[in-house]
Amino acid sequence: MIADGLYERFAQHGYIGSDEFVVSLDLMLALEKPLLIEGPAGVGKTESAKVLADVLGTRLIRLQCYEGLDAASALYEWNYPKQLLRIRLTENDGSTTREREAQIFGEEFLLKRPLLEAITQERPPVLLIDEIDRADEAFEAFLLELLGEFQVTIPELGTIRARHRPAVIVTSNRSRDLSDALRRRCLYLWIGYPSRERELAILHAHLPDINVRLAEQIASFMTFLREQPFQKVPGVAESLDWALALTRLHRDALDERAIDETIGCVLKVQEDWELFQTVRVGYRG
Amino acid sequence: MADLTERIVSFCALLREAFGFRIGYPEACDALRAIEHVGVRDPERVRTALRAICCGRHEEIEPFDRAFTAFFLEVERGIPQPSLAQPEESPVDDARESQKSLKHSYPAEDEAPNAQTWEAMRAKYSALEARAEAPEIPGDGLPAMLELVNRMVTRVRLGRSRRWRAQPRGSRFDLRHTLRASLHSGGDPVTLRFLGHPLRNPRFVVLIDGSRSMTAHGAHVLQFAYALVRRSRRASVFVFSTRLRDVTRALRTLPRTGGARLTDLGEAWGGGTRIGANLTAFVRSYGRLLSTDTVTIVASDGLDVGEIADLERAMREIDRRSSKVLWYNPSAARRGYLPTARGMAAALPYVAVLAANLNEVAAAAG
Repeated sequence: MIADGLYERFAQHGYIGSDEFVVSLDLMLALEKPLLIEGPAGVGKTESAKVLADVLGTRLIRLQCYEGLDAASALYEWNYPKQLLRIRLTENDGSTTREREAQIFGEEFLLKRPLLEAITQERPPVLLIDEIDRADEAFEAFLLELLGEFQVTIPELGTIRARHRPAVIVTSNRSRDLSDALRRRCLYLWIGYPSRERELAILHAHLPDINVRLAEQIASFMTFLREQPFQKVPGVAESLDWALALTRLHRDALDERAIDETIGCVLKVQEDWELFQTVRVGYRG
Repeated sequence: MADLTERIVSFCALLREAFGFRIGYPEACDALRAIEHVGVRDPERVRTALRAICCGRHEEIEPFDRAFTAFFLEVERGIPQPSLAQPEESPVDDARESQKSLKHSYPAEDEAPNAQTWEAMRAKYSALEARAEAPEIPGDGLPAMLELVNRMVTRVRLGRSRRWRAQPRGSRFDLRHTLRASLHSGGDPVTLRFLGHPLRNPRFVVLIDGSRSMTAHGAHVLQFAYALVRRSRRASVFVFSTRLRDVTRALRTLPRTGGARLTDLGEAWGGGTRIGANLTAFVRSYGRLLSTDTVTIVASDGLDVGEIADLERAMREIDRRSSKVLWYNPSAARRGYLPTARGMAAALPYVAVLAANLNEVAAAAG
């Protein structure tokens, strides 16, 4: 079974996933369905797709979503200048309008954007649709055909079916609710903040020469910080930054001074700094 | 294997009927394929696999886990599950019934899930959860209220969005549509087409204080919320007293004539006031509704018995994340009113306009 080896293969690439993560990814590959990953910022949602591409040894095709993203920049667009040129060039060669139209609406004139590109590859790639909650609600409708049937319909050309189904990972930060139609087409995975043990494993995987004691202190301190009512709760990305900063400063223990100097790596809102000053006395490492 | 199939199908039916999950035949098929893939030896692995298929959102994970434990793990140990008694008393009947209901794989929205009746039962017999019923939404005055809401919705101006739409006087040349249009004129682009940024659509969030001190104004405010939900698809309404409850969907399904009432509000109506805790809960669970397109309207008298620091923190967060916060306080209509109630004073710095009636709310939204 793939699942048993999957954890180790991810770990080799520096990604320490939870059991749920491994089983969900395994299922996603087995059922050939897209996987919707939700969770707070900085817990490794995007990273998981990158590592998956490395693990499978294929290409990663990434679509970063933003407000105003439309089909022309996500699916396909016709190459208008080329079409215009061809119309001019074939003006006097005696071909009929129908022939010319068939010519200029051929695949040669199609500009493939990430989604179309992902389903026309010889080798199934990993398709990452990142932060889909940033795109407008209307954009989700473009995705439904692709995520459900792995095909794209182009009015002038017909339906293009995936030669090989790509592994699709959709991530969302929950800045707005996604439609039920989209959710139904995907498997669902929630990635929360890691446990202390997993965070420790992540620190060691990314920074192999980190001081063991320092890593343990960082992991415990992060667990403590995540229990506080901060506006921006620090994620794994923050603890990795912090660990890197502390090792660069040649600290091998987390003392008051080290915390004061580097807390900016972890807390990034001024109100959180103030709150931190009042709660830090309650920490017993 | 047939037994396993039956178990999975009835588990899906249980999730659908008792917990309101929107799953049907395709999910049941996927669940069977998943189990075939992961095997049945490790229950936790089965749980994770089924969770990936049956859950669609974070809020569903907790009820799913409860249902899974009760359905697959505890039955074998012979512990009766009171909250799930119905499906387990007659698994055969249930499977048959679920196969029947699988034919129309998605339940209609107005089918009341059993979970609600269960909550109603619990509330009936528990002294702790005593509550009052929400007032009827009056039918008279509804046209005037719709008119008011209409004025408010059309008045809100948020500037333009970043997306491009075909517009006759847009700012960017649209080669695609120009080329399409040129087919009529033999390939010569006679009519030029343009793209422009459309106006942004506002979103509304209404938070209604349903505590005892607000009961006199409850019907009026609910009528406003009802009118808003009817007028705008991008409106969400919450009521809170001891607890917070999302009533958007319930309001949407009320009859259009007015004169109906919201039922089963539980601890969200007629109890004590914990504004701070409820607003914090709102930001935590529904914060995604807040954006620079959102106008947030709080209807409350600001008499909070909870922690004031919570209220202040929540209000700061709501103000930071929405376009504008309006506070409707019926007591502000009294002559010589000063916002000195602790809760009101704490919230005031984050409120754009403190309105004494709904007309002022409508005027201030724009």
